[in-house]
Amino acid sequence: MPAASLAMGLCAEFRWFARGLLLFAAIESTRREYGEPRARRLAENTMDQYHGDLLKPSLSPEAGRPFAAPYSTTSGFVAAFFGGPFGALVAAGMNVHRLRRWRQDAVWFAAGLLLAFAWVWLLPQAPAYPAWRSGVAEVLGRNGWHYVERALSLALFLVACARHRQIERAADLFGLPRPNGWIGGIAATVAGFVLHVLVAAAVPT
Amino acid sequence: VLEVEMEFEPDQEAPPTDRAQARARIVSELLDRRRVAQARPLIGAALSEDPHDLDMLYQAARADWLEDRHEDARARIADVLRIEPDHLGARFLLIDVLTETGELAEAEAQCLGLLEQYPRSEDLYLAYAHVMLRALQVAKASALVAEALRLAPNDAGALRMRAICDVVLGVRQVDSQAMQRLLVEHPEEQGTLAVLVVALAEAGRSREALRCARQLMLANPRDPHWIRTTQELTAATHWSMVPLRPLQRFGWAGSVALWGASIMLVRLTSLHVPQAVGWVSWTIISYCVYSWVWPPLFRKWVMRG
Repeated sequence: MPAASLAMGLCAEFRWFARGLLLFAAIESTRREYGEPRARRLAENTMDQYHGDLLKPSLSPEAGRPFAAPYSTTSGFVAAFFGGPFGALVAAGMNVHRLRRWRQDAVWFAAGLLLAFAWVWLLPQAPAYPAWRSGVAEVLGRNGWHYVERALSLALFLVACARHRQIERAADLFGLPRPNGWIGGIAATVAGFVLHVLVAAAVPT
Repeated sequence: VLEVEMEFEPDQEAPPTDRAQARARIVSELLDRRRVAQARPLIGAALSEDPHDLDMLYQAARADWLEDRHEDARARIADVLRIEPDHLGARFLLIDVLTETGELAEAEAQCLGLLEQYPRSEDLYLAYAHVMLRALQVAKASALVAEALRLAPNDAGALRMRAICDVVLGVRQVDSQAMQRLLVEHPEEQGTLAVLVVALAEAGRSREALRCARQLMLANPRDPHWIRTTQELTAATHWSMVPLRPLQRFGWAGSVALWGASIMLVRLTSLHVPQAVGWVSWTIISYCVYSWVWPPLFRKWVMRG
């Protein structure tokens, strides 16, 4: 699903960008060749088209599953803190799914997933891995590597927060009831932990 | 003027339609000021004289809506629309009721239906923007407000909604042109003050927000929203919250930074002053527990008071 969403999201972004550029070029060339009134008419026609998009229903049953308020950021923090990078991603994914934002967030989610896989699966295969671990332990102490891993998880959580900041503000502004954060947080933590163990177990020795 | 008008019954010798109109005007102005308790007897008297009085049925729906009696309001709106299916006020009110009860798809359908009939109504765009904000469709809400402002660039309601969208979009209060224009062009309106409270609270300026919220609470002593907001801001500005100011200001980024700083502090202490590690660790843990437990407890206590 994220791969398909990623492709669709990129296509949509490119289409809008290209459409904007073409329209801008068309209006400018009309202004140069035929003068201001005609360019203005073209711009107004474009506005009408945009206006039509604005009045398309977004919440009707045909538009898909209804939006739901996201889990609180506390549950995301708990999942990232105790569930590791995959916990942070599961919590973020749960919110993306509830908000029906796969198309907008797919690139970020895929990047986070790659980062988590790189950390848990790819990095231990590097020849210098033991040296890196001991280097970190020298600076941060015996649990240094876990601290770095937690910092990565929390960074993923902060990125997810930043992506959904406006929606969180709107939800707070309207006092929308949130789903039970404890259930979501614990579920994401457990899922993150299980994923971590499975991916780590797949590292070739 | 309203108090004086209420002292007098409408002229008994005036034609019944004039009397009804005068009464409807008084009720409407009372409800504009959220004085539902004073409006109720007038509505009841009017409806006992004429149960199909369209204006009074609509005002009754407004009164129910103001008292959060959504089902009653819907029933009244249905009565109004049965008599006059195109009653604009009732259809607007229905959008508000549907939005409040979370029936957002129906509210959107109502907005779109009305926009087909009145495509140049900025109020309809604003109502639709409100529905979209409630549905967490921030980008579309913002675009709808832009359209409303295009139709009515100086409308106070559109500027208010723009300022609210700016708050949601994270535009700083000093950078929000809509907020600035509201303060300059409509400084006397309560709506301006209400948006200012939201903007200041969101910017972490709780003390200023509290001052404004208190004024609003004094102006609307029966409005539970402003009582609750004032209580919340009172809790947020209490002296016992001062140590938590950095966490309040920077949110989760502050918490993550606190965690990172704690790790470094404990590590440095263990390297250079090992005998102080216990004290440092317990101080940090106490601070974390305090930040986690005290604010909700104190808020609950303030709300009960």
